[in-house]
Amino acid sequence: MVLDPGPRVLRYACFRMPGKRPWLHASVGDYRLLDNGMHTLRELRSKVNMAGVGGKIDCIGVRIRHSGVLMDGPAVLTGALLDGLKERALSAPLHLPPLLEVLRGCAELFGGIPIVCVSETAFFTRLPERERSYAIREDAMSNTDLKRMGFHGIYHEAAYRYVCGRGNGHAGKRVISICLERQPEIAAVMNGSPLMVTSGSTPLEGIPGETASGEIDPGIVIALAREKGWGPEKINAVLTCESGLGALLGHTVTLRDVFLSKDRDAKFARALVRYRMLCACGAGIAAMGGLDVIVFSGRYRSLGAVIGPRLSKRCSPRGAPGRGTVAWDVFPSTLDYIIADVAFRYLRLNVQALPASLP
Amino acid sequence: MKARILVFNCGSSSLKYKLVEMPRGEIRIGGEAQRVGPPTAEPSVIIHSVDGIEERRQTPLPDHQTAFSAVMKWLEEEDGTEPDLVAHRVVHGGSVFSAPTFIDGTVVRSLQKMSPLAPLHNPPAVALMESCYELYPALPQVAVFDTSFHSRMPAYAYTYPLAKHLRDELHIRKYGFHGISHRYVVEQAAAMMGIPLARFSAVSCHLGSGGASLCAVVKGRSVDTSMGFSPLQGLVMSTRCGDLDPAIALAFFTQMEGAAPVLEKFLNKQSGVLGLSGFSADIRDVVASYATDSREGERLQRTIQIYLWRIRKYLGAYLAVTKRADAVIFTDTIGETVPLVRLGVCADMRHFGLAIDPFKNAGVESLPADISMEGSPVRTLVVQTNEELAIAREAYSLMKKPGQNPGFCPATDGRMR
Repeated sequence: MVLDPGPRVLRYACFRMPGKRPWLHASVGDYRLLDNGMHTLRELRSKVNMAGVGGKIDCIGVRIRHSGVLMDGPAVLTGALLDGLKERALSAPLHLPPLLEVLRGCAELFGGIPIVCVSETAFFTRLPERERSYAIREDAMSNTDLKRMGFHGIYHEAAYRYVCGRGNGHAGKRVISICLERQPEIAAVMNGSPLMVTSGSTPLEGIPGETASGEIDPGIVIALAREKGWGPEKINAVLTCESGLGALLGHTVTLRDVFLSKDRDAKFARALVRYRMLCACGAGIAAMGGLDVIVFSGRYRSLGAVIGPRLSKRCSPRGAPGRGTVAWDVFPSTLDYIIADVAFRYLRLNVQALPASLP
Repeated sequence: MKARILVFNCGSSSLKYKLVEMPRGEIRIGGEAQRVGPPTAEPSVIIHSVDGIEERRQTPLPDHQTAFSAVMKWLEEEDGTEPDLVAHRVVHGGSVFSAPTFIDGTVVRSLQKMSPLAPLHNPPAVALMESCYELYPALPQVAVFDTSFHSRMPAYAYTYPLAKHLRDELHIRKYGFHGISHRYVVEQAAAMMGIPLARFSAVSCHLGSGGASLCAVVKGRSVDTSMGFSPLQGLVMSTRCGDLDPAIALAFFTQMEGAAPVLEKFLNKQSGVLGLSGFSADIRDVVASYATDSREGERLQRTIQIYLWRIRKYLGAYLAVTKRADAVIFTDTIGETVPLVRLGVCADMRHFGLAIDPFKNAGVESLPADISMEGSPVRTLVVQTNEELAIAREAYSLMKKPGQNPGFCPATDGRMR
């Protein structure tokens, strides 16, 4: 069973591994209103038990959206891990408190079933220091949360494995992974490790999202404070929720709308996103010293067919004869399945990893 | 037509000048007034050079007007130095000025309105224009803008995805800076390679000991640059942080209890190479001192790596943007004189057709120089920038345009204020 606890919505899906189709999947809105989510988890347990076709749950995979440097890969939930996440709650106040409630609830309601935590940020703990660091005074940066990391590591890592395992000679090669989510993220991955990523210390930096500005001049933050008299919370709300593609079009919009609409404003937004993607790919190529394949993943991965051909042409090597166009590919899996697969493989490799008794 | 153009490059606490004989571009006289403004630990001084012979005069320089008067008096001591025109470097022309312009009251008022966009640089330049008008009302003045080379960037490159009302109200867009230098070295490089400017594509790396920026050039025009709305965005600079997650800026803003000037000072004056190294704001000092087997040495190595990495990423981005660049151009203090920086930035870039010859790179003795590997489709050039000459050229072109210079009468409304 895979759980993805967000601030308001809990998504869940159950797989009979290695099957890719979930036998049960749904989302529950406002799941924390009753009994801090325990009520929802109890209902979920009943549903799973009643579903019959699924049989018993062997493992629970939980998506962790932000674990900072605490996790460098999947890990079975232990008291120590739970404490570590609790200590970090303030660094991701939207995501970690609901996650902690769900983890505690699962431990209580699904006792005896291993809970494997799969983190979005774990992959990026391997980013080189030169990429992670900002040019800020060392004493001000001693807080490790102020370092760059990515926020779609689960997709990037799985997409990288996918293209390397396709048998078309990409094993161990240089990959640009483009995760097409509500806020797209681009990572350069070589030999299984990320060398560059567009997101920053938070998902606000990088490619513009549906409502988030992406990368802007830090001078704009100062200008908003000085000229508008706004405080940090207001500026954060404007940059996070009232900017991005929606701000360019003047209304709520999805990445898919932007790429498929014939509207004039959408055309401009599309040009802007394409351009930022091209720049990010160029930076990634420089980071890796070359490029073998571009891979698209994420909920809007099908847009890879729209973006891929032109982007791969622009990113192709120059100069030496016989160096063709860079290949591009689409990684077809859903996030739920990737988490199930990671948890499943993790347990197979770590059969001794039994669930610890939680405090 | 011959003309003697006096070029002023007005910094927040300095005033550089050069007297350029056009159209030959000969510069015999130049200098710099240093420590202009409130008294500092060291006295204010003007360093004046004639035919390479330097002379220093210590004199109080409480403001740019005093510095300007002192410079003009010094010039008057020499025969044949009366300028025909004064050209000013103006850092920010906003979205109003996309080309050099004669200065009159309207221009001055427009520039005054733009002061919030460049609070350190534009006000002293405008004050200098006013002083110049008060003391020499018949002397025509031209403003040449650092932003104008970038004014024709495509909208998708200069637009920040913020709400339209905010962009309009605060004039938020990418402006870019160092345009005078980028334009100059791009023109020099195109001429050097024998390619018409209208067909020339390049990435220009203006790496100064203070500010630094990269510029992507397609068909002789700037299509993108690493500095943005302000000079804060982009590369790691001497004391500026360059690119930064806006959320980090907000985190500091919260720590500083919402004091925008404190945040501005922190990001502009205490970050960058200085913030990382804790030792010097000049990457040359860091490069000269990193090879020590100590914790301090590790910190300096880390500083160099972060500094180079950011340039590499922008170079890769702009090589992808320009598609088939003819050259990568290095200029200004660091770009011209630090081979390690050029090597670190260009190493392992064959994917883009760029290969630097390490021996040529290390052995650069005179500029311009081509330091490319034989057969490299993208040439790597080191070109000395000359902003004052570039300003004089632009001002001279404006002078020569028919109908642009009616009898050297710049103040068309008869007053500057």
